[in-house]
Amino acid sequence: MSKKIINGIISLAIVIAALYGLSRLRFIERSIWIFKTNDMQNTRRGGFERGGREGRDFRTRPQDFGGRERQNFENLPDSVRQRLLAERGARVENDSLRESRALNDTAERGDFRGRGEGRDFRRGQSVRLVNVGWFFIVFAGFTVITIYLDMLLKLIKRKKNQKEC
Amino acid sequence: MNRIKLILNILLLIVMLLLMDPRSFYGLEFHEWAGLIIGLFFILHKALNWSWIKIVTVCFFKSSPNRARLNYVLDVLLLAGMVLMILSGIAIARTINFSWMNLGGSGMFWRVMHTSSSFITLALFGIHLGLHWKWVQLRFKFKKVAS
Ligand code: HEM
Ligand code: HEM
Repeated sequence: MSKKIINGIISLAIVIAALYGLSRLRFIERSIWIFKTNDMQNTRRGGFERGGREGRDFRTRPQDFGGRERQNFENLPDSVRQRLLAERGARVENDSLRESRALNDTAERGDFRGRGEGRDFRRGQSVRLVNVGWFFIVFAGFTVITIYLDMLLKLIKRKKNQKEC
Repeated sequence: MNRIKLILNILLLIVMLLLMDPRSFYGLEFHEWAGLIIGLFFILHKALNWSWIKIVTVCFFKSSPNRARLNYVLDVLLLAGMVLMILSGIAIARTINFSWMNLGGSGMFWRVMHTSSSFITLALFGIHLGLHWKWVQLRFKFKKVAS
């Protein structure tokens, strides 16, 4: 019995942490992003502007995906970049991904010099597992909820069968 | 065999989580290569469970238990998610040159597709594991007995 209680408490803790992780990672918003992308307008409002890097990328990345747009991105004047950042600033405060980028200015300048010259997003800090931890907790949350739902459904089924007999 | 499956599953999970944040682990180059390689490992995961897949595919419209059907539908969704993630990853790749593939579509579309498909698939993974929890429990119990 005590084992069951401990399991229950751990599961509850995981689910609560997962709920927090969902909002921290903007999990739901980013999951349904694709269903909101009917036109450019929607996309910009729906997420890119809040999403950080992406928003800037796509304004400088037109329809086709050749490689030219990277050059443009690289040449984006600082003033434009600043304006775009300011535009997004307020909403982005709680976003861990954005925070991590803002912490390291290199990332905001864009590390990529085009194809074939792959470099780290953020030089100087190549392993940073905070978000990975949150993704794990969200993942574990889904697992825990499934396990309990499964148990519940089985229990209901068993009760139903007993009544029928 | 079960031990190999267990190790493979744990590895898949770890790599998947590292892939969920391209900034977490040695940058985009790691992300792109690992993303491509993990695809092969998922095929291996399927191959190892091939007998199950064969049986349920044959019996799906006849007499599979509901639970097996649910697992099957989920597995198909997982596979679709995986294909979408890798395909869109290829379309937006920056450190590996895939321009020769001419995937078409707008960069924006693929980028959003990449994000959404990876987030949805991660959630599906969680559910997938939850539905196989018995198997996981058995593996760990087995380990205890062996030691
Ligand atoms: C593209 C992704 C994946 C696909 C298409 C997939 C597909 C499958 C299939 C077809 C099975 C066999 C039978 C069944 O569903 O009952 C299975 C079993 C299983 N999968 Fe996955 N899977 C994927 C990812 C994962 C991941 C990331 C994990 C670990 C977190 C995982 C853990 C398991 C476990 C524990 C089993 C039970 C093994 C057994 O009963 O022998 N799978 N999966
Ligand atoms: C199973 C495999 C993969 C998973 C789970 C995955 C997941 C992700 C996630 C969660 C993001 C961040 C999205 C965001 O912040 O909005 C991302 C970005 C990205 N991924 Fe993947 N990915 C996978 C495979 C690939 C592959 C195979 C490639 C290329 C060959 C690739 C290339 C990229 C690129 C270029 C970005 C954009 C980075 C940026 O501009 O911020 N991915 N991926």
